[in-house]
Amino acid sequence: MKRKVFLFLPLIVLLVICIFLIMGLKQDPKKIASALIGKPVPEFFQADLLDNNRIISNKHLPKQPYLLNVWGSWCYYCQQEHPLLMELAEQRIPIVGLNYRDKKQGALEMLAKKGNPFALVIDDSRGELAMKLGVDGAPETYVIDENGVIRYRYSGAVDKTILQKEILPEFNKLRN
Amino acid sequence: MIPELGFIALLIALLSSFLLTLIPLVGMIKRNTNLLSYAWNFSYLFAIFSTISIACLAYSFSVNDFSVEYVAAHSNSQLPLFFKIAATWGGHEGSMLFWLFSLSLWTAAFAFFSRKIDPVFSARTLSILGFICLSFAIFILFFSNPFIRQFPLPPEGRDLNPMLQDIGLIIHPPLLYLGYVGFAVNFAMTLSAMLGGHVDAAIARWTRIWVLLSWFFLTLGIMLGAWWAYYELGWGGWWFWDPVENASLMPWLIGLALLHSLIVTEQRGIFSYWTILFSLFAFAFSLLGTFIVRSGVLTSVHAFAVDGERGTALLLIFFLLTALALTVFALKVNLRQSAVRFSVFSKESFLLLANVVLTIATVSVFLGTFYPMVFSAMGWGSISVGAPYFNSIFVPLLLIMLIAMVFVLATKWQKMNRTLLRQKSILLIPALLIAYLIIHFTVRQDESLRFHFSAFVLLSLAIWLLLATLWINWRKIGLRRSGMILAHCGVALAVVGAVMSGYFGSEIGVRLASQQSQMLNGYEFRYIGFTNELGPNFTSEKAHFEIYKNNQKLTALYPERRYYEVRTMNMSEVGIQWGVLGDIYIVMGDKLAPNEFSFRLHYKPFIRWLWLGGILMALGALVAAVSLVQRKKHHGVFIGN
Amino acid sequence: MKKILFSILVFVSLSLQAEMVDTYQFKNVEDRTRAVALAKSLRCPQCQNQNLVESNSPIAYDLRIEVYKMVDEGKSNQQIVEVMTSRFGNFVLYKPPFELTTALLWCLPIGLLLLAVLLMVRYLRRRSENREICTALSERQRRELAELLAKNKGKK
Repeated sequence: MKRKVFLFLPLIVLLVICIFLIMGLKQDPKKIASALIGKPVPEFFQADLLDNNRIISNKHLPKQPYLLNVWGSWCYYCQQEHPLLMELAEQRIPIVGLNYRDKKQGALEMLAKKGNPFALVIDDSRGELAMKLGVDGAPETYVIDENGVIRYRYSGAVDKTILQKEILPEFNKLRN
Repeated sequence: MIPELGFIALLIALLSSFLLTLIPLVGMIKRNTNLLSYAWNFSYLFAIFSTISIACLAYSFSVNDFSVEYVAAHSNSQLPLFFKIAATWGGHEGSMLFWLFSLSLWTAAFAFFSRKIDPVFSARTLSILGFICLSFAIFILFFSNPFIRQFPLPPEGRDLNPMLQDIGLIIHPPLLYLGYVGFAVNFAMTLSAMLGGHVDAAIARWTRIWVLLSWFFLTLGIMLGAWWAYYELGWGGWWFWDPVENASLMPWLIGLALLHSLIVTEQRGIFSYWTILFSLFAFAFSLLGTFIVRSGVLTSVHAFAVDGERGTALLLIFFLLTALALTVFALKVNLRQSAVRFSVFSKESFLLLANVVLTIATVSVFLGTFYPMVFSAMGWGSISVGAPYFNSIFVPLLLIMLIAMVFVLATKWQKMNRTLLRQKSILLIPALLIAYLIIHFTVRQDESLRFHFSAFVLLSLAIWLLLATLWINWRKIGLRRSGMILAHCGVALAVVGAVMSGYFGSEIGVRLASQQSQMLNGYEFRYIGFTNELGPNFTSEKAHFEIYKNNQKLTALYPERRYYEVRTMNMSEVGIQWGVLGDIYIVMGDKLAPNEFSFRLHYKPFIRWLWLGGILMALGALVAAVSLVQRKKHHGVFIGN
Repeated sequence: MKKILFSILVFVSLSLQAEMVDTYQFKNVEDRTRAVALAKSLRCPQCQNQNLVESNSPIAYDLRIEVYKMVDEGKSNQQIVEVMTSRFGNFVLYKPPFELTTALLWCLPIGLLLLAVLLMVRYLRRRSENREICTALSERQRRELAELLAKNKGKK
């Protein structure tokens, strides 16, 4: 009798595997967890996109909770989510832009044409700060608290539902 | 009109697979032999109509019918005709149809060759095969129909992915599918035998032919894929432990274990548990592989489309068939242990060890492939499992495997034979010496190379295996053993190739202007200049290299960078000088200045041995299958119940 | 669907730059070997499933050059790996470190091997001690066999 139970072992293993596979099917394998959650924004010295003579560093970042958006004028989905960023800016949510691997001309043109939602735009044409942040593609949106600690990251284009369900709740937690 | 015809053929194929499942089943329940005999008709019908279906798709490709969505997505009017036909299986929908087509070929082949054996067993097997056919036909119809039309008609197709525009990659998927799908036959046979209440030596021998053939195709397919990766991708590697590659490796390993387990079952009547489980899992892993490749649950370089719906459907098929088989196993398998006796130092023991190693290897590949997925499903974050992990698991396993292989040759069935054992063991001494000398001379060529102990051990064992396999009484060798000898020599040669190119390859990235040269591994690579070329659907820059050794010109090489306009993709064509002792391999990089490019230069020692080994392994399987067929003719082994 | 398009766009924008063969000059061959081997064991965070040496994407190129620079500066492999994991997490390591969450990954193959060896020793001992019960036929079986054979002969 004991041996009979043993024969069901392969079937049980199969069941367990299938449960994991179903769980796995619901995931997007391309979403990588950020290693910087709970860590401060890395130290940096980068030019201001709007005024190249000015050097921005950590001390210029807002002293209140804010969003950090990684974008580039070459990136289709950054242009898609741009109007949403404009709306956020109108709601007086501070957004810091990180212009990622972009040509300065193109970036300035895009801001002139579509409006500038950013309180501050960091020029990261060579991807130096982005590399320290662990950016794996544009667009990316970070939620950062008043002490400059990264609390949340969203990789990919932000749309209305993601904004309402994920980003704003994270952000409002910090504000209160 | 033609695409609709293909679709109707697909519908008829689906219907005949449904009847193929149902009618023999009814026949068995009602004990009506007349109904059983319909299994054969429906098998042929299914094969004919799936062939018509895929032929219609191929025809649509050949006449540039871009009103068919699938054709427009994978072809272009400028594509050479040969590639157009091959594009039939260049995307998801087409390759699933090809899957079904090869399944129908195997089913028809089984039907044809099983006419004379036990009709109940064969009809039951065909009915099970029919069920597999039916599930895939339904899948294609509802989730991946290649015949969907689109309006308005696009003026031009999006072209076949340039990476696939290569002879190696045209033959690679069909071979792989033939191998994958072939395991369905022995899966169905084993299931049928269990349902019939007995798995015995006769069935073991009968299934072995089918396993050998599937394994032959799978080996060729994998080897071709590795070879393609080597010369087309331009990284100098041939195996990347990518999920899609692992998907084909798992059934290969299990199939290999199954082959050996079948021999023991056939000769000695033991290990039948193993044999049954291997048999079921070989096909289960093929299904799992199809799931991995086609669902996109795992990130792969091969970048197939991610589609959750298809993934769920394929997972369902995998689960249904495997769960069915394992339930039958749990309920029907015979618990009686045969009382066969053998000593610790016997062929049986070492075959068992080899199978244990192959099983653990498969489990490790499975674990490494799916661990990242489980890891993030558990909410632990993201993780990668790649070559360094697999290598650290596989190197020790390969070591045990090679030793087990030598000892299988050095022992007899049942009992220990001291003289044979001593004779084979002595061969280790020359093997160590040869391995040392090979490594010594290779390392001397390039100052960046170092002596690796693990490479030395592996190489010695591989050479030991080669010597032990060849050191036999050649006059006694008939067709029967030559398959084994070929395949085992193939393993030894492949290991030599893999170890030498893996541990002792040298490479360097350089920037060269015309007439400049670079030394690597005792060769002088001189860049002469470049020309612009025009291909049928691409433009290219072609560099001209001359290779010198001791100031003597050996050869000229022409690495190339192609630009495919439709897909806006760059592809690099590697310049390779083949050699028995090693390959010279040049990849062309960016243009840095007029007439100045970056290049990566490689020297890959013994890499050719790897391909040779792979071909020998496949050939060994083929020869073994042929010898089995011949023996069957002489003895008429299979007796029905 | 959006996701697919996104990945296609990323892919297109990257592949335009194609094969980036780097021509970094190292101080000596040891450094070169070590740097290339190390870069090969790190995963490009942006790509499908490629290491830093094989990938053509700009981020892989930058990271690769950074690894090379750190090697050139004489940093140890462990230090370089720490810099990389502090940004991208263990995701960049193709060889996951041994932790509680990766214990199964590392222990299962080793555990299975040990278990298999244990079971094999037991099994083989039983098989080899399994004396005389099996090979010989009992008196009754022998009689039955002889009868069967005789019957068969009669048929022919």
